Amino acid sequence: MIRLGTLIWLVVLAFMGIGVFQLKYSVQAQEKELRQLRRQMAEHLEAIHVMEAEWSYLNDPVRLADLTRRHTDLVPITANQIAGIDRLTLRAQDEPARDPSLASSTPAKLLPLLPLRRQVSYATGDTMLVRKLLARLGG
Amino acid sequence: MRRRTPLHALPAIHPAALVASPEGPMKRALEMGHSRLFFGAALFCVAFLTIALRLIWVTLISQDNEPRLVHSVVRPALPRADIVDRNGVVLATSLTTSSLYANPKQISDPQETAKLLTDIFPDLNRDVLISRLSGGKSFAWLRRNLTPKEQQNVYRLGIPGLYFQNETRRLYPQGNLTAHLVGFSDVDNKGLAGIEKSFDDILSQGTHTVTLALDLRVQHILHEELSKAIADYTAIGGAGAILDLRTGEILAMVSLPDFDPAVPGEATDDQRFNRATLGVYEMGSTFKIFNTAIALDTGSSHLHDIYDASHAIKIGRFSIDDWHGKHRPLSIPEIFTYSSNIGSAKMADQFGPEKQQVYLRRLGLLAPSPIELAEVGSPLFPAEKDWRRINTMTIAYGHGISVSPMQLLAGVGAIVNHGLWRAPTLLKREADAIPAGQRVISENTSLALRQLMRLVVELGTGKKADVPGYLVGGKTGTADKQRGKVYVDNARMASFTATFPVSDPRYVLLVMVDEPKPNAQSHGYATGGWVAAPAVGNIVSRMAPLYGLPPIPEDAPEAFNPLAANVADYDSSASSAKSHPAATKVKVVTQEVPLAVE
Repeated sequence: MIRLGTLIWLVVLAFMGIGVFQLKYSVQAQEKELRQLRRQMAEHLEAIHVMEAEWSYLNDPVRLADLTRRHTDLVPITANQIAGIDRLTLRAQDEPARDPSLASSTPAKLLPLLPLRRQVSYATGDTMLVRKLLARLGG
Repeated sequence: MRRRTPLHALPAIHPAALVASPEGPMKRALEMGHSRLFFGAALFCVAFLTIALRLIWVTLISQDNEPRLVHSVVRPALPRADIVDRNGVVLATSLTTSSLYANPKQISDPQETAKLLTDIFPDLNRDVLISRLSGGKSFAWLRRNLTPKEQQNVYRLGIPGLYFQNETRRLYPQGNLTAHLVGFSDVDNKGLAGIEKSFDDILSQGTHTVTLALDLRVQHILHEELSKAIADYTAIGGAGAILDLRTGEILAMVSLPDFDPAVPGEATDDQRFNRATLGVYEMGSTFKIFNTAIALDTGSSHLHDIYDASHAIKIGRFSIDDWHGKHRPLSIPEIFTYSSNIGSAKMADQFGPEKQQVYLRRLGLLAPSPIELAEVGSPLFPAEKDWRRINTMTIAYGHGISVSPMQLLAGVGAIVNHGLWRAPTLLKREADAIPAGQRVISENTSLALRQLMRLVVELGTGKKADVPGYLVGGKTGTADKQRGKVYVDNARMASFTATFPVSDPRYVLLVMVDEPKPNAQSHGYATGGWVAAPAVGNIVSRMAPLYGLPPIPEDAPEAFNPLAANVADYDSSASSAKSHPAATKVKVVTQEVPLAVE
């Protein structure tokens, strides 16, 4: 006759056995997923590598210049279009009142500006800001 | 069967053992047995308990760090490392492609197979294919480096005996733009020229990307302008380079004609020849930069000394004369601006051959350029015992010594870079790895030379290189070429070397055009000032805004050149000469910076 204690131990044994095997299978599944992920990563990295080469090929300067000329109004920036913030003149109402006793001193002359065509300097970014700045300087 | 032993002789169970609680020696034996059982069971229990406790500890209680299986994404080693420019644009890369081979033993019908293959690859010769597919060999290459589409088509044929093998193929996305610099490699991915060759061992490991100092945008600008100059003047070739003075990095290096690195075998020797580093040439008047620097630095001349350039110098059977000379006494600024050979020779005569050799060696002109290429030419100059007075005088205006354009550029760079020479490099230098320069001339001399070079562009032969706002200073050079020992008429090397802005130079450029011929616009001239200077001007006007350099207005203090008053109008039509009332005898700057001891 099987004693109660033995029976309990047998039941516990059964549960532990099932538990161990489940654990083992879940670890195997994780490892399989890890291998899969690593393989996918390697494939993606290889794809990135190929795309980097393609990107460089598409960035051929001659091709870019041709595309820019055909599809946009952009032209290379010239020295006339570059100035520092310190060269901005204040608007008339913001200027401090001139002391008439001082010898008249005009601010240093800027380089002559080109008339503003419908263009944007691709080297310096925001269109509206550049246009406003140039309008101020030219006006 | 009869029992052997009678029943009564069998060992009987001792009656004492049947008693529930035995007495005497039986009791001791039983107790020993019990205790042994007990200890055994206890041992096993302890063992299992330990395991159970450890299990609970490790799984539930312990917060120990598990070994990380997730590493930061590290790129697996490529078959061959990439070469990129300073902004990360890929210049050379390896991609895996399939190559097609056959096992002729397994090909059942070579004719049919060849026919099907030539449908996919029309450029393959059918007879050659048939011969490769028949025969008893077990391996025959059919076509290497297939595109994925071609591979798919061959796969679809379903012919047994055809196999694919993965191979790496080297690609050069920028093509001929960087052909000489990056170089090329062979089918087995071994570098044969350029950076591919000189860094072959690092590239083969596949782990470290080689980052060049090259800026592709500036390379494109230089390439375009040089090509234009060569086309305009029907020259046979040219070379150019741009150096960043603060770091010694080479931002651009072009040699024309060039070739497509994907098919180097189709290129001629002339196309593969790197004129910028391998060719050595007599540079002509650009050497007057060095000559004047040596004269001023040694103190054998001062800026306002006058030399008589009225008559040609005759030494033995040699005669040194000026081209379109003024034939009158000239000051040093005038000698430089008018590019007088007579004046330069007289200046060199004063400081002598020993000093000339010392300075030229310091400027890196007597040793091959230290850049990281295998194709570097060695300069040609007289041996020490043969370096006589006549040699000194001709070297003063750049004849009698042959150097490579890269050496010249580094030397001019040292002169304008406040007197500090830095070894040029093709690799990107990090901010903390920039070498301190070696002092070759003093600060004062450098300032004087910069002002003289600005004069050339303001008033002299280099007017076409001027770009408003960027204070370009330079020197033209028109050197007659030699064939054997004789100077050839009408074959010259027209060059222009420039730096900008002269108030605080950032970059130094050199453009050289090989054998330009005069054209309709140039009034019969094909000199440095007509051929190379405009190219330099265009390059500066495109490059400076690209780098965001602020333009300097004409009336800023940096733009003022005190030497301008010392040069009479170059010709009466030159109206751009500025004269400042106060500048008749202007002293050039203040304290002497001591020369570093060699």
